[in-house]
Amino acid sequence: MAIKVVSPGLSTTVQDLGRPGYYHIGIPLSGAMDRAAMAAANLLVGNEESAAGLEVVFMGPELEFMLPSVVAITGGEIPPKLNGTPCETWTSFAVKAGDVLSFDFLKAGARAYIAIAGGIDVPVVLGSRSTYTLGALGGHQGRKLQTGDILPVGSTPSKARAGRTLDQKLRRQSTSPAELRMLPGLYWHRVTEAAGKHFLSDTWKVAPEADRIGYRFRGGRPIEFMPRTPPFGAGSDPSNIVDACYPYGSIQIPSGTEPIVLHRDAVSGGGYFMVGAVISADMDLIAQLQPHMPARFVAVDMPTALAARKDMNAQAAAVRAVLQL
Amino acid sequence: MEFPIFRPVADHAVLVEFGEDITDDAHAHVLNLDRALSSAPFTGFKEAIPAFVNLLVDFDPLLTDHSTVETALRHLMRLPASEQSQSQHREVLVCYEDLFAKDLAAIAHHTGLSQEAVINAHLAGDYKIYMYGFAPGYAYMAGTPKSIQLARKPSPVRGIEAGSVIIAGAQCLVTTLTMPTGWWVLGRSPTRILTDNPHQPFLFDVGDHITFRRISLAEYEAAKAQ
Repeated sequence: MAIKVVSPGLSTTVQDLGRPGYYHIGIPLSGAMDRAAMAAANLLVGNEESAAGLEVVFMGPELEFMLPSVVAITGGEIPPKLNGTPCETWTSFAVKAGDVLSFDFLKAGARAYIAIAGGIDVPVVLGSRSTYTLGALGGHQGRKLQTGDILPVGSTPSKARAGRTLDQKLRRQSTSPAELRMLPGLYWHRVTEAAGKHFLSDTWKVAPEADRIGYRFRGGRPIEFMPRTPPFGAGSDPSNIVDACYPYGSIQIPSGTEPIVLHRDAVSGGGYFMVGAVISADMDLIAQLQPHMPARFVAVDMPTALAARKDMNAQAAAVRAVLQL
Repeated sequence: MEFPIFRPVADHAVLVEFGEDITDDAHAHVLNLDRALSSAPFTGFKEAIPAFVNLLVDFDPLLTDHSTVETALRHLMRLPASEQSQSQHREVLVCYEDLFAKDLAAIAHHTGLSQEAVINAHLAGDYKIYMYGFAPGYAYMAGTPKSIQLARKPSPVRGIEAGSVIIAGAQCLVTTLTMPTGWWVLGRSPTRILTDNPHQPFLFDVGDHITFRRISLAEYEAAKAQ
């Protein structure tokens, strides 16, 4: 079984749930930015939730199936069509050899996930099939898909079945304006009190260059830092520190103007202030933000962050329970 | 400030800071805790990422919590430091020809040294790998001599080619990808940093000592052709 790429879309990549464990040598987590959507798509077609699928950004690809299989599409609303006829999302459906999957214009969200029974069977690199394009690592030849690519698909699992669907209330949707809960952190004490208030009260807009490395926001007032002597080894920009590793979700503000939330392909370390971190339960939501969408940062405390993460895991368990029947 | 400081930088991570300035002492603490963690990880431990003066400890917050992690880390720090692991000495070749050393003239200008004196100062440095970061294979070294230490440029320059030997402050590194950088470009190295070995994807280990050896353009080309 294989899939032929008729046209690649804007930036379609092979992703699974990621490549943890190599951050200490500069290799990021990678994997689907909306992990819940990728996992659900896999479960819908009878795969393990960690199987590799395709992450579609803003504009969908056109794909031809070379043998019959079962497919599901989840995530943001980029309406899919099979041989030109609209088909359901969050629901598995059968495809025949020669069928062509294409997509309409983006309606909501930013990223859709395509799972196919058996998973995309590219080689495993450092424990994952995810593509890290910046490092030309993993996925299909370490890059986004191109016209003419042939993607191998694994053998069809016995649980593959068309017509499996996920109830509306178990699909997580982002709101507008997006509310990103964050923990004020490491260098919050070096942000002036007024700037801290502005950061939380201003409405930011997603910048066009937001991508898998980080989501950049602009439109809020500049962030002022307390005066201080730079530590030895740091640069002269007031937002420079001695280099430290950036955790997934951390917010840095180079030059104090545009906050960047580091995402799955984040560079692991560097010398900019981290003023806090978006809570892990809200990271999937960021994946579904389009450029120019409004967003606000909402400060929460650690118990709130942990409770949200528990809820997220409970939701994932509920999805698993329903779809593994 | 009293070190170590435990900073809850995310719901899934704590940053342990051993100092604010780059010192061997602070880095030794970072490496000791990193080694202690890999031989005796606590419940819920996921990964530790060493930097110059701090260690990021990533964990599953549904299996443990920040205060339990801090207690576990403090306990590990009280244990006697393990044997210094097999830090190696490695030689990295560098060609300082104009073709590659895009900022050599600027470094000479800012430091008041001749270009030859800048090169000699760079060669005289005693470098050590402190951390990986930024991108795959970016091994951050410190040890650049004071006489050629410069602050980062005000803004990054795009398209600095892979293999560039770059410096900023006390730091030095050999790039592995063509990327923007605000550091100063001093030369180009043909030494392969990316290996094909999945158990050790990169040439250096944190803690390794590095010396640079100067080569000519012809030697550079010969080494690249290998």
